[in-house]
Amino acid sequence: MTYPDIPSNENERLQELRSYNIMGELENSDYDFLTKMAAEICGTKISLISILNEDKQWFLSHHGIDTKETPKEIAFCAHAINKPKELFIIEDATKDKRFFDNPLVTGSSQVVFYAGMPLVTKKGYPLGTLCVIDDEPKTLNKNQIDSLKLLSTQVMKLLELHRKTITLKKQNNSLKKITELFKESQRINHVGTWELDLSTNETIWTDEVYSIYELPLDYNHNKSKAIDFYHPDDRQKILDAIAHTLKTEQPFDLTCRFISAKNSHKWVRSAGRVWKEKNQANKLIGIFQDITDQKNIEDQLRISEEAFRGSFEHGAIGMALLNEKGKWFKVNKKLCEILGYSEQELMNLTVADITHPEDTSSELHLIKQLVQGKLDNYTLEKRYIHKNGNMIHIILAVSTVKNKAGKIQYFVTQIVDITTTKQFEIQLANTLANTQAILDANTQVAIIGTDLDGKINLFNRGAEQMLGYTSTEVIGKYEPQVFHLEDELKAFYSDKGTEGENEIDNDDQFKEKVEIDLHETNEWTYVRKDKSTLSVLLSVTSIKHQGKVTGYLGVAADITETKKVERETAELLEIAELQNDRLKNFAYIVSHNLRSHSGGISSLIELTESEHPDFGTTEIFEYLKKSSQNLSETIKHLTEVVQINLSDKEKLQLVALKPVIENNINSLLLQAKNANVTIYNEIEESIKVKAIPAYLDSIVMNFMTNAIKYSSTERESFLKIQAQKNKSYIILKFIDNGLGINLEKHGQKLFGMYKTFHNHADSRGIGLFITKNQIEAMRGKIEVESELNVGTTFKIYFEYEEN
Amino acid sequence: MKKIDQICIIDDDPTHLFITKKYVELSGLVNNIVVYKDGKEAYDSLKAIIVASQKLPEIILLDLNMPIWDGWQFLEEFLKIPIQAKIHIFILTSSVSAEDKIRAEQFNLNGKYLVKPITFGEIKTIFSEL
Repeated sequence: MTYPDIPSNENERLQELRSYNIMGELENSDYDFLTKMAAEICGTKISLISILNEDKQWFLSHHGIDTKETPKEIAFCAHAINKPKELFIIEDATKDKRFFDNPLVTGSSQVVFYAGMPLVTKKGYPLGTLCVIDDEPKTLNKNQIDSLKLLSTQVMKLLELHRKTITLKKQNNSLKKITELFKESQRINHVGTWELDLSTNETIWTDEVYSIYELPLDYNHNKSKAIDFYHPDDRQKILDAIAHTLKTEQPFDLTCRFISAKNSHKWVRSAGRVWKEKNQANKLIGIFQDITDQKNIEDQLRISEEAFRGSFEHGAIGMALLNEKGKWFKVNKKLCEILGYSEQELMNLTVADITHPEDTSSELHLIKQLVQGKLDNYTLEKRYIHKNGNMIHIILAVSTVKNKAGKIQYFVTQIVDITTTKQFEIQLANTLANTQAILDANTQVAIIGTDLDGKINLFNRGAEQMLGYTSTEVIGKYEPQVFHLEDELKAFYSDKGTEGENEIDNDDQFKEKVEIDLHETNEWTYVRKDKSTLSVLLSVTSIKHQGKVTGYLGVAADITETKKVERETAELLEIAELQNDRLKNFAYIVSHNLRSHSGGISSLIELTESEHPDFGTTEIFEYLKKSSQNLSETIKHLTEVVQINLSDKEKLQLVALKPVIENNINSLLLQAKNANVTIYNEIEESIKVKAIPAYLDSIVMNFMTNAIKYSSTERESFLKIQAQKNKSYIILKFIDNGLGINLEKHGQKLFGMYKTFHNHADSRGIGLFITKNQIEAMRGKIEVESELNVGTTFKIYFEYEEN
Repeated sequence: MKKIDQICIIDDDPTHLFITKKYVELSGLVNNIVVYKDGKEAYDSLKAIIVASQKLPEIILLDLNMPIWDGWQFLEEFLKIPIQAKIHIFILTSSVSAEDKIRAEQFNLNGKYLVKPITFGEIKTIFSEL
């Protein structure tokens, strides 16, 4: 037995077979009719339509046999399909070497004659055969063969029809489904469709259109009725659109106002286009949609968007929209104002550009959390840099706008400039720190605050040290009167005699006192914790906050030492005054009594001389006379000195220098001439000094006299008198080229009493001593420069008055 | 030169009294010299003279520093007495203090303040100027 060959395109063939969906199909009279015809034409007992699949042949129709199928490897048809275009004929299988031992031949089927025509699809795949079979050897004539081929073509047509029917059924089902979906979708979206017959103006609506019109489904409508439900102002618009579409064949799409049959005001969308069908008049078809809700949402959206834009543009706080990279998207005026940039300048910068370098990383983790959706928004304080370089403190609030996919579209930031507040805060912190520092630093001054009830609420370190209490001991527990002597408080209030004596025992006396005597400073005795006492100067003031008294503050300074010094000073002053009195007495004795006596003596000597001329010429009388003169002289000088020291230093007046010098030059003119000394008055007219005129006169006279007296005979002598002004003094200079003074030798004693440094006839030391005293009495000073045999310069410093 | 009839010296210091008297006598311009040892004695005596309408001295030389009443007390009381006659009062003192000089001015005695020891020349000048 020869097994049938498997066609080379078997896989494709099987696939093609499956598309016919014929295997297992119910027997059909159409196929049976064809097999019956084939058997009759060929004169065989059996005729089959055999379909070959992977492993068997299956009979779609079997005439003259009950068998429904056989295995493929024994099937004659499996051989037949290997030559799809030819009729496969075995006239006597018992004599054919391929089939003689085939079970179908040897078995009960007794297949002897076989003729099979392949059933070939348009694509050329053989699905099986239409075959005729008999149990006797047979030959077919040409007629029979042609008929069999024709019948197989007919079978194939039936199979094609069958396949198409299946496809159509499928298509029909899906169409049904689509229609249903379409309807449903129209209902859900409030979309209806319509048709307009242009020749009749008749209209066809879907259910949804009725629903939008709020009309019953049996309503009789047409074009003009349909238009009538549009808002009067929009009717022309829709008519124009339709006309335009008809003319240009361009579709229209309009949004119009609409008033339904039940008088509901709606927004509708109507869109349409021309529809052409073969052999029929053109139509307009389109959709009709209720968009009232959508329109309302749009309106609301527009309103809220406008509101947002308004508050963005004209907001009182800085606002900006930023992309994820910190690039500005949109910034408002206020933000530009805060940062000092124009909008354009700012748009060219990133957030990092205007952020204080120390703050750039402060919000990175927050941004990350925003991006990851872990945060909706955040607020933080940071610093920006103004265009002018100043630091700006801001509060930044950041949120995001996301799209439907949850991706961040942009960041919305709000920026409030808190620089002023911040500076205030810093200032306040500084002030508080300063205040605390003052409180802490004042270890010598006790600062004690109370509330309105008189309870201590502030007790600084100074108070702790001064009083021996710790602040925790007293704060909120004691009132300041525990530091006072009861007697002093009583005396103080009875002296005041304020609102009534019964208040003296009142617990609130300290407070009462303060309310009455604000800013009062008095001396008090403080009592320490250990009961020892000290003297303090206590100032009490009220603490006011916004015009309201909130408490009281007492500042006490320890004046024990001051008191002691004060006492000692008073004692010293008393001693000084006593001594001064004694000095005054002494001065009086000198000026009056001694003078009186010495004057008597000198007068008596004079009288003696005139009455007793003989005695007057004796040596002893000469000495008596000289001694008396010396005594008078001495007393005279002493008197002058004493009077300088006792004179009132406040009698200084402004005196012009130049005239004083001039007067003295005039009165010494003769002496100067005799000594051959030229005196130059080089003082400016305007110079005035503070002086006692008599002293000034005496001083000038003294220095001039000295210069004349001690001029050198060896050269042309001069005395230059100059004045010069510095910050605090006018310096009067007497410059001569006289004998000079040996300062090394005599410097210490130059201005001492009774010192003379020249062996000169008129030398007497009292002059410089008195001069110095007079100068000092006028709060001035004197300096000297001198060189022996070169000259001397005296500088006298006078006070003067600034303009 | 007209002779002065009477001069009054008020001074407690015998030395100065002697000297003053001596100079006055030496001047030869004065007829009588009356001497009082203190302000009180001078006031009482002069007042008695006034009361008795007797002749008053034309010149008084008054020391300042004296016991009982000093020169100032004398001046204060004496000047209160209304008198017709013109009396020239000179202060003759050993005090050179500015204070005393200013006080003398307050009694209208400027230019009439003489400092001891007075010289003979001064005495003569005063008398001749009167």
